[in-house]
Amino acid sequence: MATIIFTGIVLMALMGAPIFAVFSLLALTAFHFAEIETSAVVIEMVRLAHHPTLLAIPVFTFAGYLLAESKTPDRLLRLAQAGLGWMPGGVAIVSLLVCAIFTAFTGGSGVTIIALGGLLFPILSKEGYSDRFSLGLITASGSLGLLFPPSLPIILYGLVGKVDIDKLFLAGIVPCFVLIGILSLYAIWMGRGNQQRAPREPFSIDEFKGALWGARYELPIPFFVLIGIYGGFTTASEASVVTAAYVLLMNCVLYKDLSFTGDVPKITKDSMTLVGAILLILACALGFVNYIVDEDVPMLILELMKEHVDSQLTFLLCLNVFLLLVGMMLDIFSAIVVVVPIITPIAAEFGVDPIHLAVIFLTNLEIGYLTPPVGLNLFIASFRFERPVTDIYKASIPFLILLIIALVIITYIPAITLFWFK
Amino acid sequence: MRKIVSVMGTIDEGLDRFCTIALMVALGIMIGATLLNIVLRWFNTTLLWVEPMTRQLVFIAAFLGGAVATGSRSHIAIDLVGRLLDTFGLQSIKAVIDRLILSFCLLAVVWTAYAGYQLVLVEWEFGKIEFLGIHSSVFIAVVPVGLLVIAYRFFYLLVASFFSTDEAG
Amino acid sequence: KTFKVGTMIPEGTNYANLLEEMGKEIKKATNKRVKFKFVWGGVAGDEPDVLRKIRVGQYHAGVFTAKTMADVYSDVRVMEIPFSFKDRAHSQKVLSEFRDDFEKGLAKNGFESLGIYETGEIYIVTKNKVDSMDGLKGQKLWLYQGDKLAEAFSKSLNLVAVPVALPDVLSSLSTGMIDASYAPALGIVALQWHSKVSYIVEPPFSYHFQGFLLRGKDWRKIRIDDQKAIKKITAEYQKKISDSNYQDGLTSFEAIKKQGVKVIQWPKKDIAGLNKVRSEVLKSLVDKKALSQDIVNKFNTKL
Ligand code: NA
Ligand code: NA
Repeated sequence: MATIIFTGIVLMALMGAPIFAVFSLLALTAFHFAEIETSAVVIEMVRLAHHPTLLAIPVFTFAGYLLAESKTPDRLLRLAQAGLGWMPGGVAIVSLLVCAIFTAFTGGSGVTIIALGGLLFPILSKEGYSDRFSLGLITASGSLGLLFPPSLPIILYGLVGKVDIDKLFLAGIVPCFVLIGILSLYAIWMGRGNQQRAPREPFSIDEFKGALWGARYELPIPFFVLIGIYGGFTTASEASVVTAAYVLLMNCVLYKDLSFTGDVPKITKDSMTLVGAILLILACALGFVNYIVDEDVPMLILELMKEHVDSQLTFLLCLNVFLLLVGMMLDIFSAIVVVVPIITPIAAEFGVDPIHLAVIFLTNLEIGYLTPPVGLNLFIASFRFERPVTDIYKASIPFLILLIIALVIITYIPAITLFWFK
Repeated sequence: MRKIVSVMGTIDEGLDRFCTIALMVALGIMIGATLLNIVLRWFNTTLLWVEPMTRQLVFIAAFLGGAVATGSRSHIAIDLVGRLLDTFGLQSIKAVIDRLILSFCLLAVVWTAYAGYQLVLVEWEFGKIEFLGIHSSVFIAVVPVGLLVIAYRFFYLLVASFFSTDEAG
Repeated sequence: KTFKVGTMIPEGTNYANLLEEMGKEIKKATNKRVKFKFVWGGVAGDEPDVLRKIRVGQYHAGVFTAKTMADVYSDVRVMEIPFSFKDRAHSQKVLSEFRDDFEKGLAKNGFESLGIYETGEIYIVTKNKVDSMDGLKGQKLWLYQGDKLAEAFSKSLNLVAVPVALPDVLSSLSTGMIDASYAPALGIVALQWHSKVSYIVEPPFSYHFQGFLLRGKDWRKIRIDDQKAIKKITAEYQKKISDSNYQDGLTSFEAIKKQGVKVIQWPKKDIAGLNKVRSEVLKSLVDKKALSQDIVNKFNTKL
């Protein structure tokens, strides 16, 4: 009986039932069959309200949406172009950097591709890059930057995996540059013949100054987070509030990009709808995960793994393959909530540092977004550029391979992540 | 019958508007109160209720945002089958699956709300007064109340799905 | 029957090992009729979560700090009023005189007590040199959220209290978000706070204990002869665990010093001057119904 019901629920999930409903029904039926009061599920849901960094989720998301709707992307792009546009592959590197910073604020839910795709594509084309390369680059950058502070997945991971969020913020920075660096080298190499097709703009100090002045109010934003937290002025949640308040001030008063009565309510609604959807999944999944952990499932998996896996290296390899599959199937938020509590004790048993594990985990999911046939960013790019998804597959495969190489480096050289804490 | 559906629709729109405004107010309080607390710390004061209050507001916002997402059908889901059916133009099958999904959601939400109601009863008996003199059962009551709003919206979508084609024709 | 026990105590510590050992003895003595399954390290949730889970029947027991025991029976916290005892022997004597009251009070509120364990005294640790009670005034002191006693204490001393969640205290100490916090020596080491602070204050500021509580409903399902056997074993382990925790506390204190944290002695007259603060705290807790007047009167005479 239980088996039939569980199969039914999973089938409904595959047919497109909302994930939050799937998790809540899984939890309720599991508790029902285990003859535990189903109100135990709600105890887990309510626990969500006790997470110390919870506030950062809606507030950073709101700030990210504000930035996406304003002219900030244009100003940042102009600045980056003025600074790096003169060098070979410079424009592509600029695009990667801007996407990464942007994803850090919007949380990599595909918003980057939607918000920046239309802006970047013509710029890359003008520079002489092929359509295929440009498509691939934008699709790949859609989740690049998940490891930069203050990205939503990092915060969520810290919350679910009980890792210090301020440590995670530091740990992700260099690995993220590794990802960007490898893709940048590729862009330089692919752009080596562009000079003939489209001459590069020489560096102009005046344009650079102009662009710098143009983005004068954006430049301090990263420091609110860094100085706020590491200077001991604010907690991570409070840093999110200071950032959001500043972004609001900047876009509504200083630049007057957005109107307080027209745009802000709409942006609030859009961002908070996303936050609500994510938190609802989180709350419902907590109930189900509680059941899994209570039934000692991680321990059972661990026993099984101990029989077949004998070293940390093999374990990490298995982990990477497994996580790529997860990242391809599940959205990042559901993946974190469900998988993190299960793998954390197992990874600890194999001597993997919890912070390193977090970075491996997030890098994997970032790549999972890009993995055919069902990676989410592939569909978002297909939707944004009105191209068949198979075109996007072809365009993103070289980027996928490079990102996997970066993943291997990040996984097997833990020092890249952990040198801060020595 | 059609009249009832249209009244239901009006209620649904009202709920949507209410949840949207409540979301804005909640976000405003979260930001405003936290800023106030940061400033007050310079003067060696802390309002102890601010931090737990903002977390409760986020928790409430989860249900408000969830209710809005229900109305706009923007819950996160694995939408592979739907996309495939669209590609092959199998709209009639899609409509059936859609009603199945709506019923599934309704079941999930109502059952969870009921479980929440039972927990409220337990907490009412054993709970305690928390910050600002609010009893802990009130915070738990957020779950069943929030879920019932979401349940209503799913129910309306389900009912309306049987009428929308008529109206179009 | 298997009883599930949720607790924040980390797996693998002497404390956890002794509890595990006690569970095995009970299992043997009751011919496998009573078994305990411990869920360590907060895997079952924070203490208030575990208490809720016990109330809906998902868990059966918990090993709780006095802060959470007080949610069952508030008067237990009288033992934690700051600067009340001269030394360990003094606190043990007072606790032994209150034990019956506590057990009865807990039972009346639906919980059987299977042991009240000492967990070592609570010390204040600071980043900056604070050499008197007065010096604490400018410091940002951590406040355990929802802790009425600590709230009342910091209010009556006019301290700057910064509420931070327990897992975030370490990073808050390291960034300077807070300058001072408090815990038993055992906890300071377990939470690694000793790597972020420079001073530990003598004398310890308050007594600290934990209790093993089993839901009364479940206790009554156990056969009477098994109940007797269990009580005999738990009484034995109550002493064993308290002694072991005391020893671990001393070892931890040494470990803290070895880390380079300096012991700082507050003047005797500071502590003596705290009697006024103590009575203020007691009064405000009675006003808030966090303590009964009876227990406060009895406590004052026992001192
Ligand atoms: Na944390
Ligand atoms: Na934090």
